[in-house]
Amino acid sequence: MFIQRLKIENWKNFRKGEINLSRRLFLIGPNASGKSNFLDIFRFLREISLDTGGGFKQAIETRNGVSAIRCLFARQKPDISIEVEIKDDDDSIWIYHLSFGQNQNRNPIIKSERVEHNGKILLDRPDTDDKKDIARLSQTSLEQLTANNKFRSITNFFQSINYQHLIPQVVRDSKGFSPVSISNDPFGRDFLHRVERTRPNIRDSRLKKIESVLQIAVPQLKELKVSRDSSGIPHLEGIFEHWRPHAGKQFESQFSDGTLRLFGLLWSLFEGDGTLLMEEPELSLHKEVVRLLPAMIEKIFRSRKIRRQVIISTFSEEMLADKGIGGEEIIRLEPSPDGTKLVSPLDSPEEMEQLRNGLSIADVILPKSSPQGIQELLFSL
Amino acid sequence: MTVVNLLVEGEIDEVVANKIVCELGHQVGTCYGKKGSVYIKNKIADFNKSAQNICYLVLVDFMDTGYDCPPEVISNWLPHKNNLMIFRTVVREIESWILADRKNIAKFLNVNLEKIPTHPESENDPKQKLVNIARNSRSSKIRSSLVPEQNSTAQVGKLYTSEIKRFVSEFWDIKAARKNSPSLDKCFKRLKEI
Repeated sequence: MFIQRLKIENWKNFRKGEINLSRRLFLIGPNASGKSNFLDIFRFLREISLDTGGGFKQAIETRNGVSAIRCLFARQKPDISIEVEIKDDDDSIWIYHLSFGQNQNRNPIIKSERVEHNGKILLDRPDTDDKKDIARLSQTSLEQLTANNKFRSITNFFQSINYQHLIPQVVRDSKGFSPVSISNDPFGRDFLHRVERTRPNIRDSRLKKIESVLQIAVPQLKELKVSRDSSGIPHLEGIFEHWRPHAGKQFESQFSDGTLRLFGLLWSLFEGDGTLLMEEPELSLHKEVVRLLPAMIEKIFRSRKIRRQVIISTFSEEMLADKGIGGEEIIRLEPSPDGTKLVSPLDSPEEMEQLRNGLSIADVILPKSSPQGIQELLFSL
Repeated sequence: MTVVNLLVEGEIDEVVANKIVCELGHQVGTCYGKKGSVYIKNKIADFNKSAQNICYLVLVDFMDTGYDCPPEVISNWLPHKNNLMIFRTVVREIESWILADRKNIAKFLNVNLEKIPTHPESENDPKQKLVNIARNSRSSKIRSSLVPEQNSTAQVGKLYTSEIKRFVSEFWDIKAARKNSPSLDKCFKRLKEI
């Protein structure tokens, strides 16, 4: 399954937008254009569909309420709405639509929720039950097992969305960042627990594959494993070769930022099969490694025999220089006085001509995503 | 008014090209490149393919090309130039065009007018020339910004690019510069034809 079309209104920097998404998608745009906010749409869909540890209300709360989500450019119709078109593996089409706002007490309420399968409406809220009991509008039907039986597969699909933005410092010192354990933390607070909890045969086979990739990027690395210390805390253990006759053991606290980032990135490619959201995967990596990331992602998915959607935000010239990336795989976020616009090269005959003539995304699209007025940046200091 | 896209070697060239295009009342589209002359050499043919419908102004420093005369560059790099591809060689380097506005650059660098060469296109290494002029500036700020520190392998000072960009956007007078730089004058006239 993958999300092939998105329609949003009043979501963060986006006042209104509608765009096709491909199975592999690169998001480009200047700082603060809304790349993370775009990815957050999908994180939100995941969160609202979790029956435990999530749900609509909590997803709104963790984003500091409806007014913090609502686009500052919102006009007369201030409701926030998200609509996704999902292509199922059997080519059937699902549509999930949600719009919400807040009531007089500033509590989030659902204004409408709709599910369609191949044009057939399976859910259309508010329905008669909602009218009888208005409190029902504080929950989506995705998060209720009794309500979502007709469209369980899209609930499961949303739940499988995975956001990864591993922060090396957090992996090294997860307690320092949060004393209580956090599950499924995209920034890596429970990362090593997750690795360690994976079924040993699967874990070891993944570690072997990751080790072989890492060895190329980090030639000193000889072996990679996960171990537990005497207090039961899992650690990533690497055997590094150095000038001493016996190779030296190092733990994650001694790993470089780049090694940890690459490890996390590779692990997320092996873990799960839902839409994967990656925020600037190029961070801390050498450009020659970055150059190979698009092919690396493709190869890992192929080796797993899965067709997984991946949405990547990036500034990386090296990654976008890959001639295997098509214009249809790009969304450019363009800030405007009316909110950020979602722009596809497919809508620009000029860009399509340049791409068809052998130029890469890095050659012709990336220069368009540089901030307006960047020339003056230094003059103002 | 035509939308003119730029394909240039670096940041200073971008500001220069921007200024020329705007002076003629055209609109600047996207600035491509900014990755040196080798990038332009490698990509020019691909950019050229779309130059039937899209207008490009390409500036290349002649001294980076390794050829003996400017027409050789074009016959080697762009044998089948499309009509909206405006390919101009800067003789010999973008700093020649900047030095060509003698009065304003002398004022900016805080040096006497006679320190600025009268034929900037015949300077062997215009960037080095500009840095050397700045070395003798009466202003310590100019010296510390534009000139590299002693024993440094850097060719220019830490703020060279940003200061020269500021000069071009705020003070550089194309009309005056055209008189001392035939290659700038030709570029201007060619761009005027579109």
